Amino acid sequence: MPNGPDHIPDRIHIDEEDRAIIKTMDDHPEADVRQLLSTNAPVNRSRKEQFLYFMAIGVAHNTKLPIKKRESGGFFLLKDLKPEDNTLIDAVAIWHEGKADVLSDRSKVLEIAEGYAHAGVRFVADSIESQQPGSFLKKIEQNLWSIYTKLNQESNANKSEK
Amino acid sequence: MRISKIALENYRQFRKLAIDFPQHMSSDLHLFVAHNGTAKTNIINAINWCLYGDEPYLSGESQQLPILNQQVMREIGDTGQADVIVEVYAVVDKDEQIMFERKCTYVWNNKSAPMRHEITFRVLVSDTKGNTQVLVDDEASNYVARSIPLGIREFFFFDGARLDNYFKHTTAENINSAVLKMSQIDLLNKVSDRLTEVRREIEKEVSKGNPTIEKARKEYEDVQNKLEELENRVVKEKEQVEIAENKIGTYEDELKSCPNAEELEDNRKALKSRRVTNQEQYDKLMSRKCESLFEYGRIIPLVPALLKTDEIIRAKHVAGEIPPVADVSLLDNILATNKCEICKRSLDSNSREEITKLRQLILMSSTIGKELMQIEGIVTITLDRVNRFSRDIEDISGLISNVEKELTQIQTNIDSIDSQLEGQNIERIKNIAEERRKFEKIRDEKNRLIGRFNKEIEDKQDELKDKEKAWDRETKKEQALKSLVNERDACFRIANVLNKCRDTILIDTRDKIRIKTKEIFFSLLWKKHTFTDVLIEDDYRIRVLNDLGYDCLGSLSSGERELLALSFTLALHDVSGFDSSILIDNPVIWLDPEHKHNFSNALAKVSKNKQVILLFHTDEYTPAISAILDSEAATRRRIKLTAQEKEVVLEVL
Repeated sequence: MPNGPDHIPDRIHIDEEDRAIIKTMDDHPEADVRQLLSTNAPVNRSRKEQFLYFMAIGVAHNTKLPIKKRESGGFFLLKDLKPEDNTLIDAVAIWHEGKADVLSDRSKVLEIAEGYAHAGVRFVADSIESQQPGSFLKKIEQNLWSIYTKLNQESNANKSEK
Repeated sequence: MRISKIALENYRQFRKLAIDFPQHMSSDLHLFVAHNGTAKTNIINAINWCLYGDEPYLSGESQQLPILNQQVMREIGDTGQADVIVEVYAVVDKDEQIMFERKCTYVWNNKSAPMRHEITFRVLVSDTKGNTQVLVDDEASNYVARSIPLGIREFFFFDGARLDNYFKHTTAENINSAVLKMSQIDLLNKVSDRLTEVRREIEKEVSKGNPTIEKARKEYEDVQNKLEELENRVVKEKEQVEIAENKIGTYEDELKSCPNAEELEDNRKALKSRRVTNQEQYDKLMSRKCESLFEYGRIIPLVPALLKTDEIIRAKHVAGEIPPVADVSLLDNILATNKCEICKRSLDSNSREEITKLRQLILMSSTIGKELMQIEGIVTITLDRVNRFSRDIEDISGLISNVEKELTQIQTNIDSIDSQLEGQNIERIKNIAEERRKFEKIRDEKNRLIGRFNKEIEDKQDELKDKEKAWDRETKKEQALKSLVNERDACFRIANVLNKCRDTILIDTRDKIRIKTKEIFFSLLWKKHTFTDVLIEDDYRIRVLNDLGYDCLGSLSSGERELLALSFTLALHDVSGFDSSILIDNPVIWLDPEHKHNFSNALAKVSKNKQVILLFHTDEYTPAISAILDSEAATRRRIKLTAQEKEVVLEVL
């Protein structure tokens, strides 16, 4: 796949190894896992949704892993992304680079997003494997509450500093 | 009753004449002698006209003439009026004075013949105290009928020829009829006939019967039967209810010691159903929560990135580093026309390349500007959404918790039911409960039936009252009918009794007549030893037996025949109770001289006990007759016309 400055990407890629991991999530015996992530009925997650979720998990762990080998064919097409989806991807890129100029390099933006998503897949997979049966969703909820609480505390601290 | 006077005024040949009938000594025999055409017979007609309104012995010539005296007719002329009056005076039992008066008024209205205008008849009855009762019209006629009924007048006022022809022309049937009339037995016959008529009228009513009573009775009985049937059904249904109640009680006793298996089963079923519902609700809520966790899981970890982005864009805003949106249409026109819009100079290749690069830079800058502004807006919205995380998750978690509690409670209840039913013979309990339910259903059904029947009974009771009234009415009609039947039977019985009485009276009367006829006949008869007996057969044929016991009626002389007839007539007078005068016109005219003599003697003897008025023709009144009767007569008068033959007058002999 061309990756030069003149090339305009049209799809998102994942690591070739992540495909099998995600597949196990689609058909996972734990209902909680399927309920959260499966692209199968009745949940019917889209790949775009899965990607954005994994990206968020990667950001939560502040971990970006370089993709060793891009899966051929891509994970989904960029045209499936809505403005709010793009905003999340752009925000991750801006946050990662510390400046907005990164947005002028679309390939860079996507490369950052794919790196965080790649890490996210691994964290989620580890979490699924490490939890007792039936406690996956609880762990997810706890983590969310934890992040949410921490953000609130930071926000309150920032407000009090100001 | 004897006649004391006859007064005639303008009656046929009688202009004005009064004929007295005084008794002399013990004699009450009155003799009239007259030539032909001197109105002798009209004395009988006058009596008949006065009493009965007709003139049975009128001659053929006289029948064509008016009753009004012709001389009077001539005297009146063309106008005016005249009365014909006949008065018969009589004495009853020597005390009661009676005057019969018939008057006929004739009126002339400029016509040649007078018109009969009015006829009046009246009877004046005076007692010994001088009280007079005036009877008119029907009352007067009834009085005559009681004195000498029209039907028997011919036995009192008659022509002598009647005696001569009595056994020639009079049939036994006529005699029988006469006896019936004379003896007043015909009254019994009339009563019997009337009873028969009444009986037939009643029979007509009875024959109609009362066809509606059977219908009314049947309708009443039908309703009564229906009512009884309903009442019996109520009793039976109540028995069934009682049986059902007993059964229900038995089953309830059995079930008292058992858990209510059915109810528990039902509850468990309901709980399970609720559990399924709640589980479905739980699953939905969990799905919602999972969805929320996924959604918030995509954005909450990105909050630092979102905040950083927002911060950088805000800083760029502040630093004015966000390029404005530029319009490249001017550059597009220059490139299109290949001519500078400002200096109007044609573009060379370098200029064109520079303008193209400029255009790209402007476009890129403009695009970044737009993207940053869009990102800024979405970041703000996303961060707002993050703020709803706590509430959304807590709400849905609360709902999930409630459903979980409910599910736990449901399960607890199910476990409790299971523990209650554990060890019980559920099937048996269910069977008992089923049986109880079956009998409860029967009981309820029967009670409904009883209610319906009771309503029908009320209706039928009302209907029965109506039917009873109808039947009662018909029964009364029936009783009236029975009463009619009784009346009919009574009529029949009374008629039978009357007929028997009549027959008895007839026999008795006939016997009395026979005895009296025989007594009179033999007392008057001049040949005392020729005949031995007078018999009257059942059919009133009279037989006279000679000394040898043979019937010799056919061989009687004319005098003997008349004497027998006179005896029979006088016997009838005696037996009938109508003791009136006897007036005979031409009494001996048909007899030969010897029998005239003998018969005259007999009449003289009769006059000793009865008023006898005899109207003789001059030739009939022979010296021999005169010698016999004159000395016995109370009055002897000749009837004759005046010199001008215009008026009848009497001459005392």
